[in-house]
Amino acid sequence: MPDYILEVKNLKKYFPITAGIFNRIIGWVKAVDGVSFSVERNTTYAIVGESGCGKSTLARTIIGIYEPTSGSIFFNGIDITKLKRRERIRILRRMSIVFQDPTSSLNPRHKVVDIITAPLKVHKIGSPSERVEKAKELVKIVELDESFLNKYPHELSGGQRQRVAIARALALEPELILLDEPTSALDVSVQAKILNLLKQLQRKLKLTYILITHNLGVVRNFADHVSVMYAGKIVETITVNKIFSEPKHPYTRALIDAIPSVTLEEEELVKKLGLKIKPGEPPSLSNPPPGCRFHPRCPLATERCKKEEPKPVLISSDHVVFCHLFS
Amino acid sequence: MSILEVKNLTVYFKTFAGLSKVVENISFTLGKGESLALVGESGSGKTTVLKTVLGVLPSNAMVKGKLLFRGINLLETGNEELSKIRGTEITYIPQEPLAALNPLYTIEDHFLDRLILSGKSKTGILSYIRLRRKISPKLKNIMLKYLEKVKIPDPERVLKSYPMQLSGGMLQRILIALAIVSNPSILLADEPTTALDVVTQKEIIELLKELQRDLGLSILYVTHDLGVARTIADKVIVMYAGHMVEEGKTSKVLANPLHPYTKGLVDSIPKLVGGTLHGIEGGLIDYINPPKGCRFHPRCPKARDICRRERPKPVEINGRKVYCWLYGEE
Amino acid sequence: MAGSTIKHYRLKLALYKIKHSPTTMAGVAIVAIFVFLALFGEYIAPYPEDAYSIHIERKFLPPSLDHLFGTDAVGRDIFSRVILATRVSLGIGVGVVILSVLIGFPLGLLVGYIGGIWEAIVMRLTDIFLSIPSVVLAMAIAAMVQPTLENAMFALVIGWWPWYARLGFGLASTLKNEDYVLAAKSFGAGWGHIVFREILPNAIPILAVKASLDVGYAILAEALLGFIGFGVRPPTPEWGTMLSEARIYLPNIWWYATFPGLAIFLAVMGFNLLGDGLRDILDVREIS
Repeated sequence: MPDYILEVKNLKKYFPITAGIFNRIIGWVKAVDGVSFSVERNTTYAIVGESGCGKSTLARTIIGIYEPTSGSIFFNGIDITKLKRRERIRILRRMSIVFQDPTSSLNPRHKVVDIITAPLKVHKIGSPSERVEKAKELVKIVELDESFLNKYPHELSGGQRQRVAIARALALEPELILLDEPTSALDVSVQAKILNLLKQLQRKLKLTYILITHNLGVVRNFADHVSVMYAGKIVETITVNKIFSEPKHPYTRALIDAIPSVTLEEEELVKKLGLKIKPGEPPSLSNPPPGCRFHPRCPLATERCKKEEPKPVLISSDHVVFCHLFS
Repeated sequence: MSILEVKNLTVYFKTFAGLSKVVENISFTLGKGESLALVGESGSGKTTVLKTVLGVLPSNAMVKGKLLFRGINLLETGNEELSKIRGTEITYIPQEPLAALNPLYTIEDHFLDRLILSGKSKTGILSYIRLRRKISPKLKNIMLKYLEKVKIPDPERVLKSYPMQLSGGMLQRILIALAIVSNPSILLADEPTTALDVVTQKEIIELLKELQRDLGLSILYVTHDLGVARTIADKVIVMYAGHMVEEGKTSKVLANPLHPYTKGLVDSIPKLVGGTLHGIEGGLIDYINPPKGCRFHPRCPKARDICRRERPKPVEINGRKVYCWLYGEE
Repeated sequence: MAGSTIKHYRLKLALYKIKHSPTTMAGVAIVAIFVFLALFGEYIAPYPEDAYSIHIERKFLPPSLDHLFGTDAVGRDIFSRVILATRVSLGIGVGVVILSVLIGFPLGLLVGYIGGIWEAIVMRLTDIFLSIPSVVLAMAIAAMVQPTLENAMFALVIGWWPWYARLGFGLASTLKNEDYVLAAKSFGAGWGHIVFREILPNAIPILAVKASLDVGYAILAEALLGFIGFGVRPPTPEWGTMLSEARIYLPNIWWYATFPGLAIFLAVMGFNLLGDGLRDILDVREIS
């Protein structure tokens, strides 16, 4: 039985749409609509999807920025959704998050040392001088010189800022780190270095990562397992090796097809696995289409797809698809 | 005959801290029906080059060199002449579609402005008032025709819509339609798919390729995404810190990069087929006091003494150009 | 390209902007002069005793080398009195703003972040105060109590604090959605840390601009109170009171009213220019 550090069961996060003077609720944006997956300790689990599919909301709900609407989140076996706020904050110290945009996720008026030690300060850990010592350790771990501690974010480059964000995420010695598109806002040459740093840290500090991204190349390079999300739901859960050899869901294949390949090898892989889909837009999360949410764009859709929501189909022990074509 | 010829283009910005030497000695040509990608990371100067062609540099910019459009030097032309060219012969699609459209006007209004007011340098209140009268069926048909060209479903409804009612992909198609309405020779594209998801990106790129074939358009495409460059452009120019480093047929440059920077860039991209990633050491340069010689030398694993002293001259290899002392003899 | 490659970028940029803005420099100069006079007035004024003493034999003398601004109805040197009044007027102006900020701004920030029922309560309270013109309110209060310096300030602060509450509320409502606030939430920070460590430092530039502009208006309001007789008691030198005394002697004894009036004008303009300059330097776009 694998050691699951995190198990998400049927998690839902709906945002209310209000109207009128009395703020009546007239509908819901179903950003996360019944998502389940399990993350093994010391691995990297990727959640892949386009913008608006709900993956960022999923990350933020797991870490407690949003309250879940329903469903469970088991962290180290404990359902944190059932805990009181105080308990939950204590347990969530073992989890941290790195945001996409390193410029906006660092307070422009704080020095680097204050940014990194803020979590320690909030939880009243250590004396002020001990916290500064810890900050020195942390900047070393993320390969920045100690002199950076007294700088402000605007004096740093994008890559350096993201390193500071990572150092902050390590301050409370977490077991699990959520990485919300950690390199999308960075230049390609910097991206590679940050990814390599993260991999190193995972080995050294025995971390588990949940990686939110839209970039399948990063998934290939970095993740062990992956779930593909579309319109608030997971459509396929698979290992990273298999997603590039036998992807099943039409949307997964459409994602692969859409990748602009850089080398000839990639181009052939894309040709082999990709699937062209009908032009269109992802559906509105407040008024999703009935049945399978992907059916309006799916070239292989059947009548059943328009009416019935697909149930999970077990292709193998580590491969699940939500698609009528395979049941 | 080349439609656009850029010769030794140099752009400096006057800042409070000194002269920022953002772009130096850029030279290239763009032929009829050709698509050229300017590729680089942040600070490479690619957007500055685009803005120079478009004529939208800020007032503290100092520009040297020649920018020849069908033989006319745009840098030395008066405003009246320029208005006839920019916006009609040379058009532009921006990075953020929503930001480029006025939220108070419908798509129809945007089209009206383009169709009637393009090419005029002085448009007063009277022309604006005349514009607001009923739209002739002829104009309406033109609008519908172009919306169909960019594959917009239900064009009648779209014409009456406001920008924020439409998705990013739709808006970008509309901007493309607006850009080709005047039958331009050159289309300038500033990373138009950055704000779009991967699937929509593919559709937009295919659309641009189709239009390029059908209308004989020349496209100058700025991007940081090598994969996109490979898909859309026949030729690519790789820029680093305001200098050109490599030029050639896109598939060849990416399959076999000559310049160490290009190679580092290609190696840094996480590939679908796996492999180890290597970044490039070092960071952005100081544009006010840039490194002497080759601007890449502080980060180059193969830097030699001459790289630190002299700027590399372009060397031609197999129809490609590379700006690197590894390939030329002094 | 960030300012990352230029050392002390923000400071250098600020100094550059100040140097190239004559109006800002003028504002800084004027305010500096007035602050200096407020602090060291009695050493500058040629007749410091004229704060209180009377010399009937010297009354209504026109401006001359002996008395730069002339003398008033009881023979006091107007130049000295204008200088000495700087302390009162500036003191009240600055004091009113500082107190209003301290009372209103943190409250507004807190309520802007927390929202909910607290927002409703506090914002409706500020609405009530804001619906009464602050000068009228000040007058009403001043009429009920003794006309002392402290009471004059109290009357003005009552009308002024809600503006800062509203400013704080608006800023916190916007800034609470910033990524760095979400990051703080993610490591378990409570409202105390978020409002005062994360949001407040980013709200201060906008506060500084409004506060510096407001000092000018507070001085004006204070002079108005003095003018209608609700300010400090004579014979304490105060610009508004001096204007009110001088009114009946216009237009013949023109110097009596002109110079105190000029002082008010310059003080308000100085703080205005300073506030505008601060706004440009900090590149702040929204001020109520």
